Amino acid sequence: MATITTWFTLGLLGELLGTAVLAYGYRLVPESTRRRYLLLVAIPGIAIVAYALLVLGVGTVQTESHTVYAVRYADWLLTTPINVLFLGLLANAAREDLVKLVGLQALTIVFGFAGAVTAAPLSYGLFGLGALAFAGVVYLLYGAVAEAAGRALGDLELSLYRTLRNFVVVLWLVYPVVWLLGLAGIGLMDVETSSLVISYLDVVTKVGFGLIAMYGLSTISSRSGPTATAHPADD
Amino acid sequence: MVSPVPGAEDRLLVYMTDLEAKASEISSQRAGSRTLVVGTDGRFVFHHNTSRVGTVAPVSTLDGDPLGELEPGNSTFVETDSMVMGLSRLEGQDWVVMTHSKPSEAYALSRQINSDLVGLILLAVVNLGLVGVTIGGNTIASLRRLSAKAEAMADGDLEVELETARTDEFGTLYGAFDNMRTNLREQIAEAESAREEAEAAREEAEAARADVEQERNEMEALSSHLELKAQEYSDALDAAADGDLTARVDTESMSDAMAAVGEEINATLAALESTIANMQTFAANVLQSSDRVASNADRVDEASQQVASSIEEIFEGATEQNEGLDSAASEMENLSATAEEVASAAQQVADTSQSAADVGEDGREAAQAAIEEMGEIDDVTKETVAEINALDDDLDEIGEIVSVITSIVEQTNMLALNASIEAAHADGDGDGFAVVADEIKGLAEETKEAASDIEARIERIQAQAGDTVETMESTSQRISEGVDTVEEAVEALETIVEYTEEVDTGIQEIDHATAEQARTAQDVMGTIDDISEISQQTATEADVVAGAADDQEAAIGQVADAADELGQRAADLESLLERFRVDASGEVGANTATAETDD
Repeated sequence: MATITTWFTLGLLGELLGTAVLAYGYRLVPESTRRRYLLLVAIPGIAIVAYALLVLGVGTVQTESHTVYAVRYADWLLTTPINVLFLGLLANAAREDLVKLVGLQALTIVFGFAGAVTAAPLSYGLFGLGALAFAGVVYLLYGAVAEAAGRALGDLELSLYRTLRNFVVVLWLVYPVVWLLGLAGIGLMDVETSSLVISYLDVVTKVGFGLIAMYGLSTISSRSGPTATAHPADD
Repeated sequence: MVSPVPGAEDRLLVYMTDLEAKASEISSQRAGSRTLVVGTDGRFVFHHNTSRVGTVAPVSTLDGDPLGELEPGNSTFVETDSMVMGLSRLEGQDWVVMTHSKPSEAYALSRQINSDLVGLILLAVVNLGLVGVTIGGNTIASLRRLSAKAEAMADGDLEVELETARTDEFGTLYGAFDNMRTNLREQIAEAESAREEAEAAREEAEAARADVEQERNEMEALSSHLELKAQEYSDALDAAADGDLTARVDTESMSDAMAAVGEEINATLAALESTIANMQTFAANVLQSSDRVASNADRVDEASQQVASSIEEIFEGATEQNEGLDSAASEMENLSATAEEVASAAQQVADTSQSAADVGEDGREAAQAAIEEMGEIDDVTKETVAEINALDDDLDEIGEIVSVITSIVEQTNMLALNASIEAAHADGDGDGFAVVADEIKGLAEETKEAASDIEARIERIQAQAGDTVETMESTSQRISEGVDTVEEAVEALETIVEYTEEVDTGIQEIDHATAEQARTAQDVMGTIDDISEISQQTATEADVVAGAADDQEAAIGQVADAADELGQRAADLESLLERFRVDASGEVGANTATAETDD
């Protein structure tokens, strides 16, 4: 029977491999987007540290009923705002919207962690607040930020924005489900299984997000160069 | 345990076992659960804790008495709050085998399976989401966008963007749309260019008709204009024939040929005018120049005479210089000879001083030798004094010996006296003693006289030796004084030698200086010879120049005559050219430069 450390080790390997591939991709993307691209490399890079700590068994919080892996929440608190920040920058969103996106996403993680370390009725209340914050993020990504993208971006970039946004929203929705089904919620899933699912999700969201963005950016550079100029909204 | 053996009624199989060990073994067959055996009466048969064997099992006190109701060979299941039990009654015995464990442990597997199932479902959902977002979402979005582009093109907007990152059928479809759009654009462009060409052809035809009408009007105007121009040209040429070369025709004409004729006339008139003007200017210039030449020739003549007299002076000066140089050369020769004499005299002095130095050196060496010899004499004298002193000592000893002898002689004398007394006493034979005594007495007196004589001589020798020693000591002192004197002489000689050497060095320097002077005098003499030669040449050349100046003077006289004649001819020419009237400034067309009026 595989132990929880096995899943953490596999997660660590996945993040390492993903970071290596994304770092190689730095040479493929156009010059003008390279600074922004570093955000994408940083996401699995931060996760490497988190998983290394998990493998070593560092950074856990023991509540009355179960163990909470606080390192994970620290990882998410850093990486998920970077994800939405990248989306906002790609869409040429207003500065105000960027701040809102990052702030709401950070709140989502903070409330999720608070819910995980507290006991039953309060924990669900905090979870609910986190869910509301994430709903705000989703609202912005489909509303104001998407409009900014439609105004500012060419066909290829707009397509990339939509794919990345849908990817993030759909896959991130699985995290709260794991929270609810796991020991923090109704306890249908034991800690090993939820660790397996979360490790897999982490690798897929962090590395997958980066790979899709890398492919998109490099394709744009090979087709027409970076087209940051405004195009008439043709859709 | 006892069991009858089938077929052998008087035999029983007895099977003995260690209940305690067995009970523990059975009890711990499965982790987290315990297996016990209970009799139907409710008492433990096997228990891992042997002290409880025979006691009443808690299960027998439960409601419904599960032990009592259990038929042999059947099993049942009992669940309490703290325990889950499986009961199974054996067929051959009134025993019930009972396995019980805690509910959490019993249901762990089930919960594990549930948990894994949920996990698998979530993973599947994740993967579905992944595929849906990346592939499905893209397909729908691509189709929607492509249809929007197609509609925009149908509405006439051919500038829509047709790009996609996809390389599959969608990519092909986008490419096909792009080609279609390009073809449409080309066809529309061709149609428009055809229409524009047709309009341009119509406009050209109308323009050609207007041109023809305009030409006819122009021809009529031209013929009347040509007549007018011909009259104008004729007037200008008449005026030129009368000598007025300033007249010009107006070349403005509708006909190019007429304008060309007008320009030719103007050019001819201008050429003629400039030629005449040039000739007039030239004649005036010649007149002016010949005047200047005449006056210049006079001035040159005057200058030539001055040159001739200057040359004469130069000649005289050169001659004087030559003479002066000759005397300088002879004086220099004298100087050179004197210097050589000084040099040889200095050489002699040098030789002399050298030999003086040598002599001084010899004297010093001789004095040194004398000092050494005197030293040696002094040493010998001192040795001699010592020897004489030693001799003196010896003589003293001899004196003492002589004293001894003298005393012996006196004693002998006494003996002789005594003998003579004895002889006197012994009459008879006493004559013999008396004779011997007399003889001894005589001998002793002789010896005494001899000793006295020796003593006197020794004293004399001693006195002489003392004199000799004194003499020698005074000699030695004198020698020491002589040595000091000779050393002073040596020092004086050395000083002389040094002075002589210094003198020699000075003389050598004088010699060198004199030789240098002689050489310099030689050089000066050579230079003076050169200068003398040059001044002779100068005198000769001055003579030649004087001759040339005379020749020049004559030539300048001829030039003055020729200039006068030329002036006369120029005046004639000027009066001839008076007839023509030309523009006073002489400024004429640039094409009139080909003047053919050389005179």
